[in-house]
Amino acid sequence: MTVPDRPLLRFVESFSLQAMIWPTTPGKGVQGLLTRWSASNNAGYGLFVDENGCIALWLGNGTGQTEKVSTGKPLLSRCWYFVGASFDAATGMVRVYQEPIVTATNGRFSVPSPLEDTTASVERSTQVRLTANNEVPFIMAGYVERAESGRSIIGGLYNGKIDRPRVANRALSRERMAILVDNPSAEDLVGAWDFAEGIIASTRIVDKSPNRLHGETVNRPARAMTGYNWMSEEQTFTHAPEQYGAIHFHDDDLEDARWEVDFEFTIPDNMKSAIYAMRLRAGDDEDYIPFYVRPRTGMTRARIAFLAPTASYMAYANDHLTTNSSIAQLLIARTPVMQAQDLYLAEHREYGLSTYDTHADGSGVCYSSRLRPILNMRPKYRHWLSPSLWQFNADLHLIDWLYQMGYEFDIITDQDLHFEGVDLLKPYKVVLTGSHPEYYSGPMLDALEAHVHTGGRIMYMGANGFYWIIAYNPENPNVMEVRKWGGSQAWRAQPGEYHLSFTGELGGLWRNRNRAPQKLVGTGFVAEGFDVSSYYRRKPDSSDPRASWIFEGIGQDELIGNFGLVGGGAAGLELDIYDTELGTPPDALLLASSEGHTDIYLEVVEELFFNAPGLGGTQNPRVRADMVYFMTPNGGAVFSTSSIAWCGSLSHNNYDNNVSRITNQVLKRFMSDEPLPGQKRAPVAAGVQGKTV
Amino acid sequence: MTDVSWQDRRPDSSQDASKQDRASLENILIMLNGFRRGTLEDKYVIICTRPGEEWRVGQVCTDPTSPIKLLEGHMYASIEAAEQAISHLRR
Repeated sequence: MTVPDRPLLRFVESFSLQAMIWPTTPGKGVQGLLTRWSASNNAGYGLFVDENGCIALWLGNGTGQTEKVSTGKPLLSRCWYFVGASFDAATGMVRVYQEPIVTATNGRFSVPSPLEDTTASVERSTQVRLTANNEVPFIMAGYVERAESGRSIIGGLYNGKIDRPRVANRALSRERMAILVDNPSAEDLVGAWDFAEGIIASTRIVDKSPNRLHGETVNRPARAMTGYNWMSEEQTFTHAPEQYGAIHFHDDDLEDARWEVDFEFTIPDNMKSAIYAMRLRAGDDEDYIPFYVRPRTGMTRARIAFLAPTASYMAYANDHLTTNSSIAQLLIARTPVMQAQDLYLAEHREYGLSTYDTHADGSGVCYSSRLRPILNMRPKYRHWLSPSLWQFNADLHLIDWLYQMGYEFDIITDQDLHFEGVDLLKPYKVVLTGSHPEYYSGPMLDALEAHVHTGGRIMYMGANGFYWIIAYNPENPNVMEVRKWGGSQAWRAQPGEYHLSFTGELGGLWRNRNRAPQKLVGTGFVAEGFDVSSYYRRKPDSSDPRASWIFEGIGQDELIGNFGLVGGGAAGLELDIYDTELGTPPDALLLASSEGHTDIYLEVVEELFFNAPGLGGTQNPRVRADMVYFMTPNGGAVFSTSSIAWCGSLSHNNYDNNVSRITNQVLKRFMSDEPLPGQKRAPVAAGVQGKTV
Repeated sequence: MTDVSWQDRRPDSSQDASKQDRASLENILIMLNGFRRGTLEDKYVIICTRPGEEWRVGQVCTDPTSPIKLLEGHMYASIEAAEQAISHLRR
């Protein structure tokens, strides 16, 4: 976090610095807390975690004289501290304080112990005096290492939380500092920053002092974090902002790689809506940068829209699961196969993390940005998790099939849906999802529901969709947020931190907010496994006159999808189940179910009450994908494949197979103006209700 | 996520240098392991070094600037051959 250089912060006389901190890697090495320090000439001042994990005040005059006064007592990680220091220019006295602040709810301990080994108050006189010739910004959670191309390069990045930072232009007593934690006084303070203000969406940090030394966060440290005084009775910053005055900084946060622009490409007016890639070549190396061209507003002619699940692509962007996760091999039941991109990302963490990773201090990654190179959402990339492809590349199976079948279609994205709502979908007869549309914002879910309720039709071409609650940043839609708890998850949000900082809403799973995917598409996440895929077998409902057209040309006992590029079958990776308890509509038809899954497939944790033997695919009848179809008022309808692997079977036998046939028959019928068999109401334009046949 | 911290595992100053090295190594392994205790023994991976043509055997190792180590001489023409080699390495 940076505060621009201002004369008020260029102390040459006495001053004080103080904050509440919750360090997560105190043993990492030197880390800046509140600094106006230039490492290139050892000039300025700053409160640091030093090389021994202790609080220290540094002073430097830029001409070789420095003073570093340390408490000499290492900090404990994930424990709140009051830390502070003062310098009295008249006497040359430096005082440094470090005191654990332990309550029943604010950290990892609640022991009624004085914690003497980590409590310190030291003082020492110094001959060093500050000079005003140091023009660097005031930095929190780091210090200025050097200047480069007009930018300050920050080093000594701090891992952990900072709450209630204050700066005074006099040497304050410890007692006065204690009062200023929660009662910042204009009489004493030059700056008193309030991290609880402007949490939603903003990068601006407000200085509550009359000097208004406002700052900016850089690279999106985590907001809406519990502060030193969190009592656990309130769970969100919107109810108790004063208990959410902390920012959690990570040395590997990345919002914007800020690469210089090499070239620009203007989309021609007549460029068709589709997915494209910019091919880059350098010697023998080749790379592709994919991008979508959506139809111009008001110029849509296609009846079909492919809704690219770009929020889910961002969630998995640059994941390090196979290098970081000890269970990668267990999940897939084979040795992970990595690509060159994986090796590169493993060695270059500066490309940023995915929401499947943890930061270097072990805390979960709750933000993902697309303002950086994303190496694993590229053509030709094979993800280790799937026997074939995953997310962006897996969805190319469907794109390929649509072209091979000769369909005209537009491409729209999650971000478009989030900001434009159901109006984006109105021109289309049918919307196709991707294979794994897992991450959904409230506006996106509202739009799809409105589409279905007003005569729209959806083909849900995958599984584990509509699962995590996310939000796009209202000011910067290139960034999304998720808080993971209560589901099948790569990390778990800390107590009190389940709410999204971008909106204030409760994060986690949509099903925990009574919006289970079954309500929208008839099925929801039930099991996952990543070794081999299986097939579906028809159910009695598939012969119902309302649905039998879907199976024209397919035998009653014919196995559906016992072939394919993704694990050798159309039912695989992640599976969804029909469940009326969770909202599958009562008149939904269960057309087919998969069977024969291995014990690598396990029922997901959010479905369980207790762990018990027999949860694997060979013994647990709930480990299955349910193909479901239902009609909605005003001519709408939903068809759900309920398997991530489905689209990988479309191309089998030169596109002549029963998975392709079913998909074709549903799509042709869904895109037509004709009423669906047994439908009581005629299809009408979305948004117009009440017409009857 | 456990509450295991870096602080807890910092090498004690009384330990000799080799022990400190091992402690540092363990810290990194734990970090790579999602901050769960335990080393990554036998954690092999296959790396596609030439698409469709060449696969090599690697091991998740301890240096954060080089977290994957390619094993010398383990170069194969198929994933299956690489998998078979790994099964021998594990014996």
